[in-house]
Amino acid sequence: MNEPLFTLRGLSKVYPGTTAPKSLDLELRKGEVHAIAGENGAGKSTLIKILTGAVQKTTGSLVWDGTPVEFAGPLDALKLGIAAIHQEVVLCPHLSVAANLYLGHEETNFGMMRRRKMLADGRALLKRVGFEIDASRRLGDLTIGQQQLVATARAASGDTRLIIFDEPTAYLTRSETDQLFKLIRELNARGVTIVYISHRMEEILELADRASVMRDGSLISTHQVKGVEAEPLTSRLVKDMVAREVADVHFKAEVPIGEELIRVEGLSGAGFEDISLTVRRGEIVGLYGLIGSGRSEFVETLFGRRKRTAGSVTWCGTPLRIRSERDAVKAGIALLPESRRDQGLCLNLPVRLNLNLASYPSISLGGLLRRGDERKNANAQVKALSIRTSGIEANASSLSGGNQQKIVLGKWLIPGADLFIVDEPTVGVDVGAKSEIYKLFAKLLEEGAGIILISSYLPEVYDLADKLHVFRKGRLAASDVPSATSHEAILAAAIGA
Amino acid sequence: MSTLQTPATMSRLGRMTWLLDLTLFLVLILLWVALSVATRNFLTEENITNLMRQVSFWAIIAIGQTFVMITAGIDLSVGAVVGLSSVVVSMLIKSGMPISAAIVLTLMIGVVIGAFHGFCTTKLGLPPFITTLATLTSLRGFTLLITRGEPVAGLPMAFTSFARGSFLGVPTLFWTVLVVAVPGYFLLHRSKWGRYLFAVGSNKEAVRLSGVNVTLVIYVAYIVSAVCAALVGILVASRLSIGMATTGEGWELQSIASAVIGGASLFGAVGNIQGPIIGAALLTTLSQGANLLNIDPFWQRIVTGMLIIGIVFLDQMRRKGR
Repeated sequence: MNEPLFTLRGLSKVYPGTTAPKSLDLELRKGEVHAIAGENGAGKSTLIKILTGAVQKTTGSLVWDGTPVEFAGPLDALKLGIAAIHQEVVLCPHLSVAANLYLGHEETNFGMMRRRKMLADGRALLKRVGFEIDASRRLGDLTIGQQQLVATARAASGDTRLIIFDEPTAYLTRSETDQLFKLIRELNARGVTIVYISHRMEEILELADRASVMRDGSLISTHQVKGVEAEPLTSRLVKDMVAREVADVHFKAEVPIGEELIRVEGLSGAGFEDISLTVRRGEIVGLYGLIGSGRSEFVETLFGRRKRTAGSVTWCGTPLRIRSERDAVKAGIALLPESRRDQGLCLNLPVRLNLNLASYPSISLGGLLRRGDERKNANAQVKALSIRTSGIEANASSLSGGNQQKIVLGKWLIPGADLFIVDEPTVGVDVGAKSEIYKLFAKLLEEGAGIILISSYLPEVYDLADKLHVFRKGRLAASDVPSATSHEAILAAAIGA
Repeated sequence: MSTLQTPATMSRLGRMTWLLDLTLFLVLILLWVALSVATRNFLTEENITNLMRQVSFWAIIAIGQTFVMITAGIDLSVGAVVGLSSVVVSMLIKSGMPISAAIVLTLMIGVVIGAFHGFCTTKLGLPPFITTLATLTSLRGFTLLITRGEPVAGLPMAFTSFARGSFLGVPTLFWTVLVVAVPGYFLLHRSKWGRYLFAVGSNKEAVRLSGVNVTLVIYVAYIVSAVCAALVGILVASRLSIGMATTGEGWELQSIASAVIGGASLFGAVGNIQGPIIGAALLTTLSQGANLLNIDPFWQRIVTGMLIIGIVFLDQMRRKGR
């Protein structure tokens, strides 16, 4: 297992304004599970793109199984047996699962697809890799996590020799994660090399043979993981990632809790039923549950994006009718949506515009915009939130996931709000940016705001929330869970065990 | 990667748009120089004045089209609205209505048509391509119906002299371009509505979730386009001295071509005010120049098509490099 499969020497990719990765040396060995951890913006995504041939390296060499290689495009990498499972699923949502599994190598009978055989083969493949997914279903009807599993199954078939996973468990349920890990171990046993990119320490400790840390485009260190004590390895990894001591990963501030901000009674709508809860000033109310349990539907209805079918909302003591997003914003509610790409950001427009999107009325005089204020607002947020960008004129698409999330947050910090609804705020966000976001939450609470936090990552919501509610299948499985309750009990409530 | 925002990065975006506009402008000047050399008639006062008058029609509808394209929409009805408004204003004036009242009423029709497009797009959720295609057909039919195919002639001098006039040596028709372009510039680049137009073209959902009235923004885009077309219809009626139902036939494609050559993207969130004006000037120059050089009009269309592909290709390259 110590033979090198893929050796990278002096790998660099120069972009206007930044170089990431920077002079990277890495040796991936045959049959190992190699974890890569690092902050967003460290160059991990670009590294993956170079390894799969999607992007051309500027300098450096790639040696595959002893032979130097050059990738002209993704096809070259695919031919060698390199596959990647990305955070965003790159498949066809309108086609069936089976069609997606064999996309590009369909079996044909004189040019006509053998549909029934494809479906049967698909079912067999999914059974073999241990995923409980129906091969005949339309891919777009599955959850994001399930779609990623289909992408994984697709990569696991054939003569794949290297599979790169980019934050694969972000959208997976516990049972799906178990299925995935089982598959990874099986592939590993077969001699497939796995590169596993993740921020989740417990996963790295569970799966990896070795782990490397990237920071600011460079590879900082590589550590042996298997057979090594969890501490001080974890601290070492975290320290390498952020180059500073991160004392509390889940920073929880002690903030006095004030008067009631919002009272929801019996709210029902498409995807959820009869939800009642309150949020007070200075309080974080956590909503935990599996993906698809109705939390996002609930908060979107609260925010006016969807229609309610029953229930009432009281805001600071008076009843509030929210018929549209504008009503919610006017009342003082802010929403950081689950999918920042689809709902939170105008990706092909500058950071400056994105940050001011909720504030334009306040910086307009008559019909005219005060452009100086627009720039001032944007610069202030970039500074306050430590947003890494080449400038406020850079398009939002050029920023990493964590920094994009900061923009969505910054957008609401300019006008201010009393109630912040944050839906999975740290998915795809690295440890350093995560702790910055938690500290921001603390600051908001100190200033008298309330927060509804939706998270599918139990350690996060468990540590942060003052009050925890558990959703299951659109209903409250547990309301105001006592603080002494164990993780297992909460999980049990979420899955209905 | 610094968090500092330097003047260089700040104006990089602005500079790149300027570069494209400058290139287009240079191409235009080059064409003019070439035509002046190649023909006797191009660089005459009569011809240049003629050119500026023709440019003004296409430039104004191209500006309106740009507003719609920025929201990732499209307005195919523009030519039909030009025809309708030229007929309506003529009929109103002939029936004895004071000219200013007739003009205002005709522009109001533009507002109504634009609002209708906005309604179909937002409340009914219909694709703008389909809605404006439907209006294109039905408005043209309606115009032919009310005129029974006959031109509306006999318009008073007070009305028709506008199109023939000049102010400070520049035709009044061309001044109307500025009357549209200057407020248009302020609306698009210096007001919150402009920011919203771009943002809606980029991600409607994100704008809605930021508490902005997206419906109103879309209405604004389509109303601007329809009113620009209505204005052009009035100007054409003044120029031709008659209101004709077939006026503006095919002009929707001219407005789209001018807007695209001027840098607007069909995918939304890209565009400015000067681009469509330069684009319209380029297309008009090509058409006029071809006539002067006795080039087969069919070649003009081929060249226009090639020009569109060329410009959009260069624009894609420029954007990829960012």
